[in-house]
Amino acid sequence: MNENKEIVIQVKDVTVYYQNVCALSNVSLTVKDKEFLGIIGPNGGGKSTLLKIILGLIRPYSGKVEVLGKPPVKALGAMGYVPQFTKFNRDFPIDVEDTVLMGRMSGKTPIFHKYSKEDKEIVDSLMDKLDLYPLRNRQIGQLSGGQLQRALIARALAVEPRILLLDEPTASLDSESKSHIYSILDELNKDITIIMVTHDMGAISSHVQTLACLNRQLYYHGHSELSEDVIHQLYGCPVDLIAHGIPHRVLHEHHNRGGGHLA
Amino acid sequence: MLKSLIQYQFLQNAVLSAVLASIACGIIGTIIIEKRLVMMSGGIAHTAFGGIGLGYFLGIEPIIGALFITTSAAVGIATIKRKTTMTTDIPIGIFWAAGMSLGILFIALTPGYPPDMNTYLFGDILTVSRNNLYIILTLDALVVLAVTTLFHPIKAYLFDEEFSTVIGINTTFIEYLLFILIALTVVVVIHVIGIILIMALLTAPPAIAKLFTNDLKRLMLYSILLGIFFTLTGLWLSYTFNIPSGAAIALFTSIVYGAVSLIRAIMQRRARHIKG
Repeated sequence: MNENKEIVIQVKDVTVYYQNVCALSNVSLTVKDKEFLGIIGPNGGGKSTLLKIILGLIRPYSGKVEVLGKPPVKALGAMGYVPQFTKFNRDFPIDVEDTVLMGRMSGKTPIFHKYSKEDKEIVDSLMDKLDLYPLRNRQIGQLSGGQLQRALIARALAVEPRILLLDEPTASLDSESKSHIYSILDELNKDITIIMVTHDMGAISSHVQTLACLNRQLYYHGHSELSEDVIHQLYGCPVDLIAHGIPHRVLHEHHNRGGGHLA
Repeated sequence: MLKSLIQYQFLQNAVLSAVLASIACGIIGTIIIEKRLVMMSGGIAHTAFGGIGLGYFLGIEPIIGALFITTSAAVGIATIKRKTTMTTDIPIGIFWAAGMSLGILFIALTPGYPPDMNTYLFGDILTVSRNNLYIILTLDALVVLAVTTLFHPIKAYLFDEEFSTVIGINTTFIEYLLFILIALTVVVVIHVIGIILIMALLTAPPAIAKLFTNDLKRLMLYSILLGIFFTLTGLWLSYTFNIPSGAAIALFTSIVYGAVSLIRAIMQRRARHIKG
């Protein structure tokens, strides 16, 4: 279905080492325009590393990464990044509005920087869109997990990116906040490409178009529709790859409503 | 004391240096607390002793020696932090001890009577000379200028380094800059409160200010005001009761911090009691 679309991200034979530990080995992956890619795999399987490689935060030991045909560091402003919100310093003296405004400071290291009227309008409309406007003057530590996550999504969108990269956006959220986040992502996906690292198998079947199965190597990359073929290939992954040893959950999520959520 | 203030230049110098030190400490203290750089700043501060020793050894103004060594140490520590993934506690501990040892070594190698190092270790605000004051003023201006010109990028870096890098902010530059500013601040504060007591003036004001605001700019401003209150009260205590100024300032600061923390704990417990 995406065959004729432009390739926005190309990862080619990428290998990454941390000290002497191999985090990614020979990973190749292409992402097309307006794709919704889910990256799954066990903890320490290199999911976040792959995101950081694409973002240009880490340089690969070998291999090549191109974002919109350029090296990642030259494609700044094309990518919006939503980091793992659970790792945040929630104590930091900043409110929601200032957090989102941060996304408008793209490019260079500005001297005597001031946000323009246009910046403020963009941020206002984003906060409105993500139901954050009434919370705009709250210090971020006083937000719920879902609210903080939406603030971080708003900040990434303030960059006006073509590609949105999220690292476990629904980790430790309740089901209501989760579905809120997913409805936002589905809406965004009409216009932009989304890459999401997740442990949430429910999302894989209902929101994500393509799937990458990562455990140092890329075990599977393709449509997330659960055809016979895909099932077969998913089983080709090591068992713990599929959400903490509950492989069947991937396949039967819809029969499992109310049965609790995966971590 | 007011009458003497008009009369004696050393008192005017003392008051001015206290205010200047509070400005640098309020701004940089806020930054090191938010970025969790307290240990690192301690390491940078203690290398200043090596610089003081070097100053005596070479026969130059000891503060200039301190400036040179602390700035080099700051750049060194920032590089180590950037280049390795291991915890920086160990290299900081080594910088800390090596810096102090160098100071003692240089003093021992300096011919003649050994100078009194207590001034530098524990501060003596009443001995700040006009020349010292000019140096302090210059460094203070640099700190204020750097932080005001780059306030938004610095705030972004402190809050979320990765996101800042992704949107194109030169976080490497900001990081080195901030470490150098920490070094400059250390040098500013040496005469006022001394190398060993610096941490009190860097950490207590922003920690207390944080109870009253959630805005970074205000946090810096309140920290400055609190710092001025602490240093001037300490100076007054020192002058009136004839006790060492550095200790007076550091102790008064610590006591106020302890009291504020205690009051806050009691208030929180009471609030919980009412709610529950």
